[in-house]
Amino acid sequence: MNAESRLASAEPVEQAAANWLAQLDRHGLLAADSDLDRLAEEDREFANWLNKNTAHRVAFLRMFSTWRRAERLTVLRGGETTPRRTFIRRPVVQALAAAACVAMAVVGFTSLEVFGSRPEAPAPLRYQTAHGDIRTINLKDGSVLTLNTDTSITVAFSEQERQVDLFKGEVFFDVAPDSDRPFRIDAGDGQVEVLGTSFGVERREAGVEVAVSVGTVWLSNTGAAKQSASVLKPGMIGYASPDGLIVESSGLETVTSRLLWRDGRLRFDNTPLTEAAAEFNRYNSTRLVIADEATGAIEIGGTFPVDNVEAFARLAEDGLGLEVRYSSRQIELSSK
Amino acid sequence: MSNAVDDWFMQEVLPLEGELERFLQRHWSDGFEVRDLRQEVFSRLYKAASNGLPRNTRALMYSTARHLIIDLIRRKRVVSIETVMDFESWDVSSDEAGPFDTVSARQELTMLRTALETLPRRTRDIVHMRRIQGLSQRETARALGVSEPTVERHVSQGVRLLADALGRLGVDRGQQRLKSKRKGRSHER
Repeated sequence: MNAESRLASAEPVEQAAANWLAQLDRHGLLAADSDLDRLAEEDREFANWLNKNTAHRVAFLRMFSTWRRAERLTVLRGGETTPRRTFIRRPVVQALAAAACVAMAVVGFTSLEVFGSRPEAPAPLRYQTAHGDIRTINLKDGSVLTLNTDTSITVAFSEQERQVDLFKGEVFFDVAPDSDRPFRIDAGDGQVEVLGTSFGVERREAGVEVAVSVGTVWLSNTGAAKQSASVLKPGMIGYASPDGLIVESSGLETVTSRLLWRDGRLRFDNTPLTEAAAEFNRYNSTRLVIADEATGAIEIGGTFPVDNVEAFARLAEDGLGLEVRYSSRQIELSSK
Repeated sequence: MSNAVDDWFMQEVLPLEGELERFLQRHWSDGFEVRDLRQEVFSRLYKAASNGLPRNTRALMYSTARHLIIDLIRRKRVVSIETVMDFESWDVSSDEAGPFDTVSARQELTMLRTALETLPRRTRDIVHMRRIQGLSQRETARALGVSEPTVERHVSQGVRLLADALGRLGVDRGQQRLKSKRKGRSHER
């Protein structure tokens, strides 16, 4: 670490990086797949500047990346082919190629304006997780979604609303506040609408469970004879099914433990062994099998790492005195 | 070899620029320009990655920024208590939101268009012709009836302003996330 009391100023470095980019671009040396070392071979002076200092290199990479990103704007080009007006001040005959380029330029400006005024239907994006995977997705509006194991969603944002469809599985939503654009979740039997808050939604075979940790959530059920809607506050868990809504004030602690999967943990509190096994089986390829009803009814408590089913089995053996039989794909628990 | 580091830097570090600047702004407004700090953090990150790419870029970025700030505090010797307190209370883990931001093609396009609109008119037109229409600088110069050095100058200015604007768009996003996080903590208490 150097002992200078001042930092190098970024301003001249950025200026130089931008100048180099413009100069290389002028000579047609910048292709989308250019790499810096090859560029440096083309121009010795550039190589000297680039390799003089890491700050030079990162500043140039920043400009180069920006310039490459800007090329994605080419999709705005298109539409009509008839030029209305040209900028050119020379005789039209001079160069066919140049005239063709200018024609494109004029068309481009008009289509940019059209693009700007037309609200587009958003293309939904699909996100999925495999069995046992947990994945975090940062959305552009600042919202963060955490997908639990075996989950499938689509995300579609427009100027008016933010829409997520939950096809299966479980998602924790940390929704960035935007009072102009409600955030809606469609999970089959249940719909959720919020403006900005944190909560988990799980779609099950029968119904949808919503656990709220922060803010206010609107939950409603659909496709049912009995339609209803309810406001959920922090600490509440709501269940939506075709038969109606059930809301429990479970407390923040319960909600928090309900959402522990985000840290790769499961918490049980007087939970029957059958339920605990079912939870483990959502995440692991080695299945926990409960041999008989009496064993399944035993209630357990504690926090366990979600992916260590073997540790859980050992605990059942030592702590509960159960018999444990291991085979290649499953672990069977039974009373002795 | 250095190529892999270049790619890593462009794909994983640069998209975090807005977040980083916001972090630096919050913790060090005292005597240094944010962009100077950012340049130093980027350089340190690049050097560190040259010895092996990190598994968690975001985490490395925050720890690098923290170390830089600590270095600066030490060098400066006198620091307002507020700066230190604020820095200590910062919960970096809340910003380590995990894997790299996923931005859809459409969101990317919207960001780029917004950034393009911030450029001065002439510069914007030239960037437009060069990037969207795919004209060369020479063709652009001919089409507009200006000299090639003029076009080059506008390209230089354009890419700088675009880089800044794209960084700022990232800042807005970070701010939003931060707001919701803070709200979250106070509710839980």
